[in-house]
This record gives sequence, structure tokens and C-alpha cells, in this order.
Amino acid sequence: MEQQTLIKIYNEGEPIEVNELTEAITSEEMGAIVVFQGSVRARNRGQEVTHLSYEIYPRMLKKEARSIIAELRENYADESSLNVACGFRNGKVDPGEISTVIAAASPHREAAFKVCRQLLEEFKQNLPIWKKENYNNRSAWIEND
Amino acid sequence: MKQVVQVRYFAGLREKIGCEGEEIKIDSRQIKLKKLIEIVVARHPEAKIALQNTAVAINLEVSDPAEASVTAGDEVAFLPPVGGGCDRKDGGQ
Repeated sequence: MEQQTLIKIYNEGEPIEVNELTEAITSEEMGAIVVFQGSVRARNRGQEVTHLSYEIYPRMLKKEARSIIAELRENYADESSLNVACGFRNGKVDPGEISTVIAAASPHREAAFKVCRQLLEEFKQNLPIWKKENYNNRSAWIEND
Repeated sequence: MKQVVQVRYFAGLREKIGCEGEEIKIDSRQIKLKKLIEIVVARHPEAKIALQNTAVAINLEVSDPAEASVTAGDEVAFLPPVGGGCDRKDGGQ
């Protein structure tokens, strides 16, 4: 069975279409769809955040994401199918807005939950996405720690 | 024929250098990545430490400056450490 992979980058001002992403990976074979939505907090580490600025290297992001997804599929070879759809915001994103969506569908829930979680962690560590927190009078690029 | 490499900068490095990218002329069809980094550092000495300590991708593949070579027409990207979420102690995404 052909497995679906959808990776979308949404430019400034374009909200992530969560329904579009989940519909793309829904089929009669899929008993479970797990969706992670990451959204921008108004406060972080005690400071008021006015907005985030994301910067993406789009072609490398898609290549790396596909490679991570392919590797994960090998680890879940027992599942007959594993569909993945992801959305990433680029540019300015305001508090309350969704910045990242990772959706995983599989015939059984256990794999869908695990894959969604693992993709999130792998993406955070490896995808070329940079995030700048903007406060009232300054800003800072935030690194993974 | 003009022999150039397309160089790209991201995030804090882009801000420090003041542009998203530029064309760098090279003397031969192929040079060592290490040499290209030296050329970029000479152009932007204010970003020397960042340029020398940043991951570099050649045509979307992260490459080892000690080993890799760059060919005219390649795209070379300087990639500062990535962001995205904060640590789990903060309960971040």
C-alpha cells in the first residue's frame, strides 16, 4: 500500500490548515490518527512574548523530514501503513497561533502515538528551523537545549 | 566561464552578516570547503567565530569542512544551531 507523506510550509500570514493535513492521511485502513499542534505561548521563561519569528531552509527541511520519516517507517515495519503529514509556519507567528502540526496515521493507535511523539523530538533536533522570541524591547534566537 | 558558489546564511548569522546570501567567486572549478569558509570569513570578519563553528551544508547535505570539497554551482548553507521549543523542564512544546 502506498504510504502518504505530506510536508507543508506555510508562509507569513497563512494559518496551518490542520484539517487539510489530517484529511490527506486519512483512509479506511487507518484506525488511528494522532495530531500534535504546537502553538505560541504568550509567556516563556517568565517573559512576555509579543510574537515568534520562524526562519526555515525550505528545501533542506523537506529533504530532512522525508529522511526522518522514512527511517521511522523502517522501525515500524509491522504496521502495514504509516501516513504522516506535517505543517510548519515560517515568518511571524503570534501568541495563540499554531506554529507546528505533526499528524501520524496508522492502522493501530500505539504506532500512531509513538510515531507522532518521535517525529516531534526528531524534528526539533534536526530540521533547519530557527526560532526568535520577540519581547517588548528586545528579541533572542532560541536554541534547543 | 564564471565560477561561483551560492552561499546562504540563516538566523542570527544572517543578521550578523546583514544578508541572506551571496555569490562567492572561486579560482578553480573545485575548492576545499575549508578554503571557502576562509574566503567567507575574510569577507565577514565580524562573524568569524560563528562562521567557523557553524554546521555547513553543501547542496542540502551537512558536510565536514575537513573533508568536503565545493564545486562551482553548489549551494553552501551556514546553519546555526536549530531552535524550536524549549526544554522539557519548562513544559514546553
